Amino acid sequence: LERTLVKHLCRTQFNVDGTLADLVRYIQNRPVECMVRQSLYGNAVPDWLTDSARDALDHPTEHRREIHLVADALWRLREDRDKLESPHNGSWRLFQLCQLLGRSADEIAATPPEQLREVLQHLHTFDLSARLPVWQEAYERTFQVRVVNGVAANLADPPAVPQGRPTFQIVVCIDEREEAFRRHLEEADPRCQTFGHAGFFGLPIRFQGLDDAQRWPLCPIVVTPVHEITEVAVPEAVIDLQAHIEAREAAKARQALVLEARRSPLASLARSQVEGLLGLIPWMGRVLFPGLGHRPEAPSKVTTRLLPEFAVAGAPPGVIRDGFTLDEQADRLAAFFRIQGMVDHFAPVVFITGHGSASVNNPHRGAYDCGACSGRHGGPNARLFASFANRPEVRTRLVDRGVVIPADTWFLGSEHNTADEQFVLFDEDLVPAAIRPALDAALVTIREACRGSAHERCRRLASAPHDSTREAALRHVIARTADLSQPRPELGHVTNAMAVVGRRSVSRGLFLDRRSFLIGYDPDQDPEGSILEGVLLAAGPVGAGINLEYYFSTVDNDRFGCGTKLPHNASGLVGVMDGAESDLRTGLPRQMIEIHEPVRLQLFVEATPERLLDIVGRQPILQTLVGNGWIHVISIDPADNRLAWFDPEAGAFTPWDGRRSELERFTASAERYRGAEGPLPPALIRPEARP
Amino acid sequence: MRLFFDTAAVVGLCAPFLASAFAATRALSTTAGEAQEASTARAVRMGAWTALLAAAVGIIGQGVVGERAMVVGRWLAVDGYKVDVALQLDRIGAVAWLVVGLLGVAAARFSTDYLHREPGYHRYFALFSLFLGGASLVATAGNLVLLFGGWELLGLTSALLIGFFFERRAPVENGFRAFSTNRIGDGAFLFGIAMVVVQGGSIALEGLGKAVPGWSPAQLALCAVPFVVAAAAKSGQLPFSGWFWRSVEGPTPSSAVFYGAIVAHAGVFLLIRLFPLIGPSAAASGLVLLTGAATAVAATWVTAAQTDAKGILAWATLAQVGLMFVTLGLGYPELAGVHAALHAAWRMSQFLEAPSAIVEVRAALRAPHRLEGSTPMSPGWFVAPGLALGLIAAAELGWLPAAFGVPQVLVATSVLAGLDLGARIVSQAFGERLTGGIRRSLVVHVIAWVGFAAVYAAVSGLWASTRVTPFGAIVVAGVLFMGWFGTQLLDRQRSERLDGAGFEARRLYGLALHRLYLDPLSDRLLAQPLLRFGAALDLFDRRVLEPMTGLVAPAIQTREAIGPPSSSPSTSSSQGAWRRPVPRSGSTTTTSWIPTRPSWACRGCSRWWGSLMCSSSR
Repeated sequence: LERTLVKHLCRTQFNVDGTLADLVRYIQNRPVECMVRQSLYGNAVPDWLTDSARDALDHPTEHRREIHLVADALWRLREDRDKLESPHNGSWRLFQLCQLLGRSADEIAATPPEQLREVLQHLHTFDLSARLPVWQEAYERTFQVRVVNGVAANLADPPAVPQGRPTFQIVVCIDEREEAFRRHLEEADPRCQTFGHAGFFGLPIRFQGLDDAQRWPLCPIVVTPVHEITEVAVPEAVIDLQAHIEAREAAKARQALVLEARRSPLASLARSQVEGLLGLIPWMGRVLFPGLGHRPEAPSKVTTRLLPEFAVAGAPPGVIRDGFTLDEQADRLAAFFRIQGMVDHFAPVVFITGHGSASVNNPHRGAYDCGACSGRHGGPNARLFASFANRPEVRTRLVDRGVVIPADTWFLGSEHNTADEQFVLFDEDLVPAAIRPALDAALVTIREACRGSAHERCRRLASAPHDSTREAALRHVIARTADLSQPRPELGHVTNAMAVVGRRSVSRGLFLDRRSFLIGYDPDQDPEGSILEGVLLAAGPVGAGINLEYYFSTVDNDRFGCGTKLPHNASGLVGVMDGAESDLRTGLPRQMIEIHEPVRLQLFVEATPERLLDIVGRQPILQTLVGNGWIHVISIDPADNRLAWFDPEAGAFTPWDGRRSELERFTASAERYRGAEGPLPPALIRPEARP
Repeated sequence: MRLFFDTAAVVGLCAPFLASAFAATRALSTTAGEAQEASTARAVRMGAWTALLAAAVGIIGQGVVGERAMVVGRWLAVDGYKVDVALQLDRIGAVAWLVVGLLGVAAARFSTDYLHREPGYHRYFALFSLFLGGASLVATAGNLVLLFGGWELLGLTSALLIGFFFERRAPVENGFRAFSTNRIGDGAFLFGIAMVVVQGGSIALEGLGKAVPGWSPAQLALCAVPFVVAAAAKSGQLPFSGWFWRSVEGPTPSSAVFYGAIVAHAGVFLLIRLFPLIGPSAAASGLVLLTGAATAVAATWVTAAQTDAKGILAWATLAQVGLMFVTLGLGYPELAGVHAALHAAWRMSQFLEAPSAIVEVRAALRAPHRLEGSTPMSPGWFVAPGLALGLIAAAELGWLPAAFGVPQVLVATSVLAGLDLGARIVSQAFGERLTGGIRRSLVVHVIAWVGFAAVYAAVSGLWASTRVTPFGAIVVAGVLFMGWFGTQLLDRQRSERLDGAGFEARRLYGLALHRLYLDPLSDRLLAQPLLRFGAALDLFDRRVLEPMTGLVAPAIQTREAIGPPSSSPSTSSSQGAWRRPVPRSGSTTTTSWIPTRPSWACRGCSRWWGSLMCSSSR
């Protein structure tokens, strides 16, 4: 087969037989073509010539003249480059250098030509590909110094946290968009506690919603889930269910009509006339006044539960099964609580909050949703977690595992929409009456935090109202998600730049400008470091994955990203093409990365350098990421809060020199970002401090 | 009063041009950037709104002062031929202008946020507004020459917006393909005008039909057929369909307003406008009917085999425009007009929502499959028939305005929809007994067709008029049947392809999948003869003319090129290295053909255009 291929290629390309002798003769006869080929495949051809060269080489026999032209151009370029090497020809560059360094002509005249030559040689080798990494390092270093300084300042001067039982606790995704949400929650009610955990909350499931025909994995993409969970209507809701199904079937009948209409000119004609006539006015209204009359998507009216509640018997690993057994539930919950350090001090209400993002007319919708749930909404996982944690049998089993949940604590599954800032509760009908007052009070705080988060987001959005009220900001983000013409329904992970693995006390009270993944981890619960190993194994690749996806899409949007969204053409239910016909475009569109600062992830870990070295040395995937400099690791010693940064070249941690500049202090986040549109360095938020 | 309406029309016509000029100064200015986006977009939106208001005022004006032609001034007067700047303010034009205004306003609003931060923001709006001006001019022009001016603006702006992303190769090439294909139509348009003038007809639209009775069929055909060619090229009808699906390269809103709405239907509008010329000519009508029927059938097939959202929409648009051509060919311009207006609005909305395709179809696929026999009858089923009945009643009672055949057409379309839905209900009730999807679908459609034919006949007075004919009904039914049957075959072929089984519709499937092989066809029939012609000219240039100029003026320096002549790479490297040296007198130095290429734009052109002149045939 190989031989036939070679023969065919030689025949079509060079018009010779595929024998070695023929090829050698061919090459000897065409030195010019050979030189062009060599330069082209050796990447020595500048971009502006590449296409001409490639076109010409495609048909070498017909394009001899073009090949010669390309060869000439290449030859001249090479000559030009050689010329630069000499000190007599390179006087202009030397002159520029002298100006920059403030040297006089006399000094230069006194310098022997060999040294000048050396200087020029240095200048010459310090070309674009050598300069760019230096700039990148400098850029990242600036950012690193600022955030390390911020974290150190925050640790040195921790905010006053009220003691006593918290009013409520909330566990959100590690997503950096939730950083602002958590900050606003704590500002609105200093007595609440917030935690961060990957948005599937340790429950990898195959989920089937009420309106789904199939099961979908809700867990990180690297995990293959085996537990099946189904959303089922409760028997009492049969009337609602009937109405719901009827509405759904009507919608499907319309859909079927649409699909059928595509097949026949007549049906298509009829549809175009009816919809053109009846739909024009509403549609114009929708385009001209987006968001007018739009209400955020509400959960369906049908009361449902996630089933099965528990599995009777387990199954061998890898086998798909229904639900979790009670022991599995308790194990998963115990592991979760240990990571978060939530072993006692439970508040009356604990929210488990997944997240998702609403938008219309957006082929890249999945990129805004929860990455820990395979690009879908994470609500079902949160809901399932809460239903486990409220189950008395699970709570008794948890006591054996060292987690004591008081009888007056209630868990609530919920979902935070990061685009229109809505907060949806699941299974609200099950809430005991005794919990209700605490829940209502907590909801007031949460809605306030949603408004705050919307307000903070608006400062980065060009068409949003700036410096307006929080209400107006919320209205704007809601309308934005319904706007057909909006290629930026929200900004996604665009601000991601760092991650903190540790207790909230490391970052609480620090304004991080929505830049930080906040991954809950309590070193007190982890004397051996095994929990940390698990957390890093999950968080490292996920954080670096998101960060590098944005990084590469930003630095070369045409190649690693998918270019501008404007000409995108959804193709084959798979992806997007540019215009009428092109390759499928992968990566992120330009509209998603415009304001991204391409820095590698700064990963703060609350653990000693020794332990980190140990873990990274054991895990090849972390070794690749950390050792090759794809993420920068900074250790925070839990005992004395000393910081040390990892130097990949030395393979060891270097202590932070401890110099610290004073950080600005503000009473609230809104004070910090008032009037600013660009990214902001960290600052301390101290409600009690009066400037 | 009349002055008011006339002024409104002129102001409305000028507004988009002014807005375009404003945006163009922004586009050309080196300082305009993101900060000026808002004001540019506002200017263009104001231009579009003004046009829309003027169109609305124009419709009111129909009622108040009636249809009229209005002369603004003299444009040209050459040797007894006079061309006025004249507007034809009548119902057809006003409705068309209203559609242009509505869709223009919507697209301008849509583009404001959609193009935010795009490097070509101001350029886009300059071209978009120029296009709106051109479309308004087409809708209101009072004579053929002015109409041609608007027509050219449509072609130019559409080519430039297809090539909006000129840093990539495909948009530029496709823009160029659109432009060069449209040259054929535009040439025909000019030829048509010339024929009308030569035969002593009037170029004013008002007097267009007056001379017609005196002409022989051949004379009439000579005048009318060129306009049919122009309309077919602009609306992407066969055999000109090749450029149409390739034109969705620009930003989504421009694709929507051009190829979903206005450009696609411009050909239909031209034929309606020139109906006094086209209608009486059997040759022209037959050509319209033929090209429309062929396109309707073929484009329906192609649509069924395509996989990308915008491609599907482009071909589906062509199929519907083909049906409009059929209607026109059968002699019902009003019906075609309403069909075009409503279809344009609807198709544009679909185009603008094309980015949702993946999410929406996925959601539809994700929904649970219906259990057999359990479908509830939702109220939605009865809306359309109810609406139709209501409209019929309203028309009977004389509540609807009797302008432009609106009541009839409203009734027709609603009844059509109702019938289609009704047929579905019937099939729901009885279809379960039939085996196989094809038979059920056949039942549905036969019922719908019979209804369609009946309504079509009733509404347009088909049986009463002398032009009528079972022929029309047969053509329409034939077109619809062929379209439907082809898609059934294709569906089956596709599903069996997935199963790995063979099926006889393979050829049809290949034809549809490869878009009727129009591209290779046009390359072979059009591009290559032109290339050969160009090569011959080039040869003449080099072998005959160049030596002659060399003899006369040996020192003339010819155009710049990268690199020296191939024959002497080493000798000429010192001075004038980037300039092609002067050929020695009488020498046969070959022309170098890699021109300086500052950007992809020129490169794309030189590929298509340059290769026309280049001797190396590609």
